[in-house]
Amino acid sequence: MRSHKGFQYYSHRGRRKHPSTPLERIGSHLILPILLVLAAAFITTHTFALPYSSTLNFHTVLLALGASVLRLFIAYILCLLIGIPLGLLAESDKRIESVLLPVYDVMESIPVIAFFPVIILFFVSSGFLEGAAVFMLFFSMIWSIIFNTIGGLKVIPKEVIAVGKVFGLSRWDRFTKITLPALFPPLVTGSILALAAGWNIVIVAEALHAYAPQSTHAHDLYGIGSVLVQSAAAGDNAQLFVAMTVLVVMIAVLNLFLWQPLLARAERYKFD
Amino acid sequence: MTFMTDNVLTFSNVSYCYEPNEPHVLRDASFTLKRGTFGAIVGPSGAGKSTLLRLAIGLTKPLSGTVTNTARTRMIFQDGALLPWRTVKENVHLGFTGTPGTKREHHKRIQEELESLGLGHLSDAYPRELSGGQRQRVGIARALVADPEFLLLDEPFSALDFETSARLSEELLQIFSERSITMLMVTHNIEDAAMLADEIFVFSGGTISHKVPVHLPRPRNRDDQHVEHIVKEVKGFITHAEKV
Repeated sequence: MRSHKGFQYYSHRGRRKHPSTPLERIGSHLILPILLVLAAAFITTHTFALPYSSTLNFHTVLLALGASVLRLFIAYILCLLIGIPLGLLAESDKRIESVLLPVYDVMESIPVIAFFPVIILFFVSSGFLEGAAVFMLFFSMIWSIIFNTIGGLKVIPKEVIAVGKVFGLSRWDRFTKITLPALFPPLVTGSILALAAGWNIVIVAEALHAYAPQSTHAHDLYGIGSVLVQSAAAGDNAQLFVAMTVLVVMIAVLNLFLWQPLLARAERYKFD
Repeated sequence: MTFMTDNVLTFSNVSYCYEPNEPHVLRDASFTLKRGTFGAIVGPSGAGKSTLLRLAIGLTKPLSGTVTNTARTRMIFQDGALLPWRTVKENVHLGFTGTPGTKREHHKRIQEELESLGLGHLSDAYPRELSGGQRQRVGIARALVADPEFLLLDEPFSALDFETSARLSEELLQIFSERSITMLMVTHNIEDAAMLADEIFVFSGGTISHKVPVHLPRPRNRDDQHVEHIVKEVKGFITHAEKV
């Protein structure tokens, strides 16, 4: 009997696992999203022919995508470095939790875009525009890391926490050998949600001209978001279509080759 | 010989509550456990029996009174409390924390302990791949590798079926008699207590209300009338305390 074990599709929403063939995975990851892009192209150009431009520079689009991915991952690493300790802090004591949880709840609900003009002005004055985009991404991504850390800590069985103390593990050993591995599954889920939020924001975070007074497209940050905004503004449908396609492919590749293996591995770290 | 009769654990008028201003789960509890004996604390589920073990091993501090534990202590938890991301041997290795010895010596000792508990072939398995009884045995191996003097057992059979728990209780008795480890088990099952213990501490009304010595030779039979008598006696104490 053929086993589907090697082709499980893991969903970060709940504990669903779906057996799927490689063909089905390529279909769901690439073909269907690309069809959606084609539909978008049709709506834009009102023609079934793919938009074509002799001035299109495919390398530029790819480099822009790389710049956006780098920006996203810098913000994501910062989220992990700051979000996990903030989650641990909230769970360290009931009184601290009662103060911090409402703060996190309110902060999470604040739309970061509303603050963007202020953020831009601050970073423009310090001449560090890249910081504005990273800060905006960070602010929109960190909450899934914090809340998934808190949720993950709450589901570690009391007995497992006791094991570390009973067997005389140092505080650091308890953190590295018990707490951190136990947080692996919620952090993978949190990371997927964080990156999803990040992709949403990266488009606006790179189009800085929209927020800084008297600025132009020249002030935009180099990235897939600014390429999308600029090609839409210039009516360059060919570039818009290519940028959308590479964005979809990149997200699908990340899901297939980063999140899927991590979700599969996270199964081993879950308590029954 | 004083060595054989000294106390491993002493609770003197110990009181405890989970949160300030909450009702006490433990009130003026006092008892002693002699070295080399098997004690059992019995009482209704959810009454706070496990809190006694947490106090005994220093996981929590009493609100008042004193707890004196003079022995190198390890604990066996319900359902093993294993770390799912570690293999059987890696889980057992946790038991060596703070114990001298080379990696090779530890490895050898782990394998010996696993072999003696019938788990030698499962050293590279993950907890998810084990049955309830096997998980509990891994928990026992983890507690035993560092040669403890005193073993605390928190409802060790509660997650197991009757046959597995009977087999595991025989294995525990064997460990108890071969290695001279003092044991204190918390259980809601009075029969288990009567089958294993030298003394049963009845926990009811938030305190140790009665102490019932069990002067019966081992191995014991559940159908033995003396065992049945002790079970009846302990049940009577619990029922009486609940009515009061």
